[in-house]
Amino acid sequence: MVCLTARTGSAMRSNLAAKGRIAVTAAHPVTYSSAQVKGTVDVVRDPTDDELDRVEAHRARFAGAAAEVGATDAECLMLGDLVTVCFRADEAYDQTPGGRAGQALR
Amino acid sequence: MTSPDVALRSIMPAFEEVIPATIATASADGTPNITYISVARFLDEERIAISNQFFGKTTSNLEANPFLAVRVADPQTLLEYELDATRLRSERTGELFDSMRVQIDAIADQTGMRGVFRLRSVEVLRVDRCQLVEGSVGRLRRSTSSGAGALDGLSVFISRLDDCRELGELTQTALELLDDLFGIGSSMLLMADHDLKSLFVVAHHGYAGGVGAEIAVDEGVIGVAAQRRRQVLVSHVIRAQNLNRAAARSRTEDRQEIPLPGLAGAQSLGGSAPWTAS
Repeated sequence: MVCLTARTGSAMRSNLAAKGRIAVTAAHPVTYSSAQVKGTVDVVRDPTDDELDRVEAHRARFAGAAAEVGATDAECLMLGDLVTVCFRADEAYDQTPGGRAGQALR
Repeated sequence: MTSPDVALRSIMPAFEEVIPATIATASADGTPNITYISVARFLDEERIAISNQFFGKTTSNLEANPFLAVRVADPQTLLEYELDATRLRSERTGELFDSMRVQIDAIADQTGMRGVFRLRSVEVLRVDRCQLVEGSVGRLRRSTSSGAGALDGLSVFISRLDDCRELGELTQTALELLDDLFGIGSSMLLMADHDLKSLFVVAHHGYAGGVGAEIAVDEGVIGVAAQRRRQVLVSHVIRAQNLNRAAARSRTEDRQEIPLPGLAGAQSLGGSAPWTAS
């Protein structure tokens, strides 16, 4: 399950509503350790209050880490309409730049 | 609701490699793949080029399906833009390839990753549409800096240099004026020795060290730029170094753990690491 910024009526919302395949990548802003998860969209809905609290906490951690590498106001990249997406993950890959990029994670 | 198209030239800062760009491709069966790009370069109003160092799935997807999306962010405004594009060709030689390769080689050499963090190819893309990402918020506290006065500054710069009577005075004055007039606080001027094996600092401003410091041609960012006789632009030194260090860690057996949730019934929302997702 992930919480994403996607404005109501946007192309991303339309794509999510189709409940097809999804790919999500995440990268640490300091270490560049990265991973990608692929799956099939199951549920798309508004976030709960608890999820919004967790997003807020995550946003603060992200901004703090980004500030370590000189990026100020980075939390702005994570603002906007939020949507919760539950998906059935069936593939995961290391995406850290380097020789192991693309290798499956178990 | 559809956002209006944006001219590529109007978002040039988004191609300065400060905020990593992403590329999304799809396989023949429609399965998406998304990954980060080291270098995304503006070519003209209709084309950009992206570097391929570690692409695997992206390359195979583009062979099967040339349509893709690139997302870039302006580091000044933090507004995001999505580019719908078509892959035109892949280049492994030539002027464009060489100019992007020197950029990557110089940073790699600086971080001891020469030969590992190397450019495989340059993908040339035609941008079919560029739009502001719907809902993109941008920076809440806007920068107040402006480029006004640059021409006035240039006029003063030239006038002051004209007053200099010897080479040492000329070079030092030039570097100090770059700071006073244009806010370039750190600069150095180097000259090559007669056999082009070393560069020597003949003037510097804002750096520790002294005149006469030596840099081998082909060593580090400066040396590689001199060896290839090309400009090297490093927009974000920390980012470039971290990217190379990540690649270095990836080579070692002592592999850093990636805290992924288990695939069965996974819930990754609100994990402990400050990662950003795309």
